[in-house]
Amino acid sequence: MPVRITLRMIRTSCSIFPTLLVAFASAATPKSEMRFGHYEREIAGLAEPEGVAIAADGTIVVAESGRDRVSIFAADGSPIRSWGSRGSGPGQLLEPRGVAIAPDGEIFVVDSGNDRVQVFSMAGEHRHDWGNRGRGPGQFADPVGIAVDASRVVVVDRGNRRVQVFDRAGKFVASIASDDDDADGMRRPEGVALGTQGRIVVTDSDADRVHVFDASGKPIARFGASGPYPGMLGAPLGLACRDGRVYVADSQNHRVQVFDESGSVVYQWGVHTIQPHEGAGHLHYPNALALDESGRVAVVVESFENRCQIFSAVPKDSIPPLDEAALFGGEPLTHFGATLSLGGDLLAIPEPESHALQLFDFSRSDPILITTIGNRGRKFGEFVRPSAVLLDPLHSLLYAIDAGNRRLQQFRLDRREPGELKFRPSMSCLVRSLDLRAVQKSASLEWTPDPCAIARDSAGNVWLVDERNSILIAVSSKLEFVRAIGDASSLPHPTDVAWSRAGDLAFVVDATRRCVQAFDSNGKPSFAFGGDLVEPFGIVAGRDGFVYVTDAGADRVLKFDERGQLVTMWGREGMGAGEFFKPKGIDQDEKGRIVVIDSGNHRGQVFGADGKFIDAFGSRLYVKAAKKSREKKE
Amino acid sequence: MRSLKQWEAIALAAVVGCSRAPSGTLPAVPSSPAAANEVRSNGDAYVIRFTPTPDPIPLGQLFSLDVSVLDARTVPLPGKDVTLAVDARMPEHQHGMNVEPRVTPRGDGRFTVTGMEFHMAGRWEITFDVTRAGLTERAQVEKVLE
Repeated sequence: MPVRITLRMIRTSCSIFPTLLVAFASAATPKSEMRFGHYEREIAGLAEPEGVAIAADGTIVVAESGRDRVSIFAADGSPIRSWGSRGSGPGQLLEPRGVAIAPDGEIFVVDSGNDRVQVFSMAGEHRHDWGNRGRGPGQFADPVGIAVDASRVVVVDRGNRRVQVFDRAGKFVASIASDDDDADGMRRPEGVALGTQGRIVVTDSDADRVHVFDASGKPIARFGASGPYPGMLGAPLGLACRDGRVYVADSQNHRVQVFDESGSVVYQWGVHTIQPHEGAGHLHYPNALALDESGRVAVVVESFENRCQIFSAVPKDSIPPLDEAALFGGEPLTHFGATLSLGGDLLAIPEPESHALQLFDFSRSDPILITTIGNRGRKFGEFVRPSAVLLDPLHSLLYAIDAGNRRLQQFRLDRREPGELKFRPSMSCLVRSLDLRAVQKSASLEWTPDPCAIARDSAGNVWLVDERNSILIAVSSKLEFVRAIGDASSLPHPTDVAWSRAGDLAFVVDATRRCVQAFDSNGKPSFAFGGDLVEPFGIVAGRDGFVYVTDAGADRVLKFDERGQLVTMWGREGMGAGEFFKPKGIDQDEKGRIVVIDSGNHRGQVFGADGKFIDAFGSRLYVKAAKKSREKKE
Repeated sequence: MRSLKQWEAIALAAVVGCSRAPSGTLPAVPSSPAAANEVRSNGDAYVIRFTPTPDPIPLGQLFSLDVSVLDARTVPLPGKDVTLAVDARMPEHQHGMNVEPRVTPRGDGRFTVTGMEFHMAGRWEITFDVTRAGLTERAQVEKVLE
């Protein structure tokens, strides 16, 4: 959860909360009890690690999604070997997101981009695999977590909102799924682990809770709620079970929480980073974890920081008390989402962690927050994990993808005095909300659309980038379905779209093919460019006739002409002015200014069309680093 | 308890201001007290008429609403596929009610909403969300309690 909110709560509410925490941290347990919390070392330099497992001999196995490989490390974190190459053949991998080790040492890898499970020996020999994309038994849509025991393989099939159980050979055994309208059901399953008596324990990141099923798949417990306090969760992702305890990577609370299988909190470890990219026991969006057989070593994965941290269990009394200053007195942070939109003198950014949209005045180089829209919830006008926004200044409209509620919402903005720098809570009102299940029906789609980006064409249609169905969907300004273009062969993994200045070409970023695919106005693939992109994400076809693309994997922005010829590029990894860490969304305003969401640095950066740094905004320490480096250069 | 009538026209003007497009295509603000309990949806597809009971709305007491959902030409919507959700918030305070209202369809586009309560004095915004075939439009009206 956002530290900003935590601080506000602390400042306004109480001085008793730290006391409660101390009481929580010193719950009545035997003095000899071993607990995690002692930081040992880190494994750095990974690329988007998404899954981890520990073998019986202490070997650490990491699914490195960003390099399409599995990497093996000794118990002390030293590298041993890696295997896997990008592709879809046997033994090749595409964005592996989960890994588990069977008692006999076989390694099961969730080959997410290929919608399959692959089985390897510890040496990396491909043994067998199963699965393909689809909704049927044994098929997958963006599988993520995996757990294995002597007889079962359990896979989180996130896109189908279910958990599938297989035997060790990959034969389908059972499926655990929730009804779409079941408020208590699984909304976005992410991680899975096997508990006592064969229980299947699943994290649900959109509902901020954990589901416990018995070995047959019958629900027997459910715990967690949205929030930062002990027992509450903020987008829980990976998890591990050991000796009746459930260890949850509580990503947006930047900690690991330990529960018993009935949901009672036992303890937690890890606190949010204070200094940018700080490690050494500070956690930043932990997304997976594994415990060794002895229960003495835990490896916590932080994909956001491209690293793992290794912790050991030590006697409870030897763990220093929680650093309350770190918990409550740290640097207020903004947690911008991955996308943004510029329109008129406004800048809109979704903030998935607070489940709201932020609207800034951008008439100057430093954006001023003038309102927030929405809050966490399922009612109309509320959000769960808003993922993208689009400003339409001509009609004073703002569109927002409400990913967790599977809808597109449209707001009207009423800024009575243009240029007023005044925070006004009622500056927006909801106009329409479109249930994306209705689009699934209208367009005869296999899955409910799961859009990650949004753009507008010159005809006024609003285009949704639907990575789940590998298509682009157009709706009118009245949110009526118009048409869809693309398919899995032409657009395996679209992440963003922009229309050319003349409106005759749609430029679509494809993360799997690592290029920009141009479509003509009839939806026919035309040409592709950007062949050396590492991890392209955002795109804008500027008013200046150039196409700007962010490359999150190479920490740079590339500028092309509309024929796909590279004009220039700028950026490298770092925190200085013009440096990036995982740049994502990008847009250009009427003045020609380029704004980039520098996602891994919790800030936005403003550039001229030539790439010259103008300003930065967002979390103070990260912004300060940019401004300081600019002063040095000057 | 203070009558709300004198506030309603002013309040509605403020709220409908939010739904006024720059092009001026949206409906004019109801100016008479008789029109105070009628509001167009922000996308102009529906007209909402409602009557609170008791009227005026009391502070700190449960009240109900009789709501009619009409199409843009003020013809009642007979379809069974029309659903209505009603809620209320205090925008400045960023909170809603402490209760969850219940909406009961009565046919011909009419609904009864029970279990509403404004527990604080100040500016409240009642929202009417009309859904048909997966597409929802919102109308809202403001009430100020002193």
